[in-house]
Amino acid sequence: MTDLRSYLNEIDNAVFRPDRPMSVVQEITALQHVMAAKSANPAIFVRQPRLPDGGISDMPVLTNLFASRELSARALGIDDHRDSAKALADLSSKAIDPVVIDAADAPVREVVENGEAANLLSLPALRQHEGDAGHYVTCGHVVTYDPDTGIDNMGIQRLWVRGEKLLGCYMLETSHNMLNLRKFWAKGEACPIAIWVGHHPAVEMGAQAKLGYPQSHWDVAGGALGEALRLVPSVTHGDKIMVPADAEIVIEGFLPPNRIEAEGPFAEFSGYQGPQIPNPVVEVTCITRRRDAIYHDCGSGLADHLVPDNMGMEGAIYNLARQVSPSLMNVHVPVSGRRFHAYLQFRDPKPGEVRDAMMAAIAFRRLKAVYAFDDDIDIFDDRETMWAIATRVQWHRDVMKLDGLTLAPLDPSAPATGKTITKAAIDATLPAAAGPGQPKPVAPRNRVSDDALAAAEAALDGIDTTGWPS
Amino acid sequence: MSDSLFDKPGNTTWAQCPACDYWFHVAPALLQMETVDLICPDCAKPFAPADAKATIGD
Repeated sequence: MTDLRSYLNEIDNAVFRPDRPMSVVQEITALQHVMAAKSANPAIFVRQPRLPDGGISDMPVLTNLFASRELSARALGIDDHRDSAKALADLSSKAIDPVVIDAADAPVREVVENGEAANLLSLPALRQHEGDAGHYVTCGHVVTYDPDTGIDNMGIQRLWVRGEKLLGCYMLETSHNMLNLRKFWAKGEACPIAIWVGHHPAVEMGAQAKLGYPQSHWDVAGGALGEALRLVPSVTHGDKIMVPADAEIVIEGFLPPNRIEAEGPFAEFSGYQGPQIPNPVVEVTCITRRRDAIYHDCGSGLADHLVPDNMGMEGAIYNLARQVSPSLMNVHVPVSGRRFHAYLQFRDPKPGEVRDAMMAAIAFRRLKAVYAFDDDIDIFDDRETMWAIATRVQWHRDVMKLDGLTLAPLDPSAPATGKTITKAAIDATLPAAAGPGQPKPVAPRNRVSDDALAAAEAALDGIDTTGWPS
Repeated sequence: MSDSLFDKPGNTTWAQCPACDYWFHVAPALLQMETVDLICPDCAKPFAPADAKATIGD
């Protein structure tokens, strides 16, 4: 059995465990901000989360689990995080069908709080940032199903804990869960829902794979894990909605028809606050969990939030662009650009191919801009990409703007009116050489020899550089 | 609405809670819904958009 706790044992030396109580109101999130400023990205395991009433929760809080690209890639069995685009582009082909086990054998059924016993306030959900409407479940995988086919869908959605049995639920209008909800509501029926929290990070990332509709996520999540996912029927919905047997917590309920209420504000992935908006609510019927459940939180707008989804985007964008560009080498969706920028890397592209690839990639809904680079640029280092943009781009020649494309959700610079935006593609590649083995018709970049580099490295060997001016 | 493509008129809408005066960020779509109450993030008071103490940008 592979689950969150087996993973935490594997990465024990990459987990920071504060030795003091920390408040669920901003303090745990502040720890993430401070660590990010120091470029330190361990997982954070808070054994003593302090609740708003001053009490200490029995349930520990885990956060920052995905802040490190290196760790997140390794959780998926990818040795080098730079290979994630190709690996995740291929994820669907590695799908493994789930298996259904008996509820009596499911760790997530060790405690069942059904009906009146269900109480969301028993969870140490965080109020992460100033201005947030309240305490939010930030790493809840929301499962619904298509009533026409019975096929499940799954996605992480922000969930505002509004009472013992009430959640506000942010559902993007174009999301597959919203399509399912609309179908139930069109029939005048409540939409069944289950929300699972906490599992092996490979399952969590596989569950977020960008798939078609309707298409189940369970087999892709199992493929990401490398073994069949163990599922169990939910208490409320039976086998209509299955849930992971090895999750930490499951929340079940319904989205009652046409019940729309205010939800938010909430500090979002963009680094800015998302506004209060109209959204459906979840009426909770049951909470099941492990006896010693770990509550998994995700720091909104931090690398913890961005890394796993951006890696999934890299796979999807690689698939789009590679169809028209055999010279495409790699894709990076950098945390610095949130989910709005993608870097494409090419080796010896044919004339026009870079623009073809950028046009294919820019169709990805969330992107606002795509940048193209040669393979001498490390697209995982923003100092290098900015250098390439500064020295290889002529703005009259290398920028394409496309009007009337899909609005990136929660873009804080989006126009107040209108439903589309202008996107840009910037070609920072160098012109091609006239022939094989010939230099490119541009100035060569500054270099020192390999021998000189080795000598410099040797001179620094064993020297403590901490405290040197940055 | 700006006359020029190049002006930066801003894009956010704000409401002020009638109970505690707290200003918070609200989507125009929610402000325009007469049947859905806003909820103050500071004091949790629900109130109709028309009852906001003040609004900006709507």
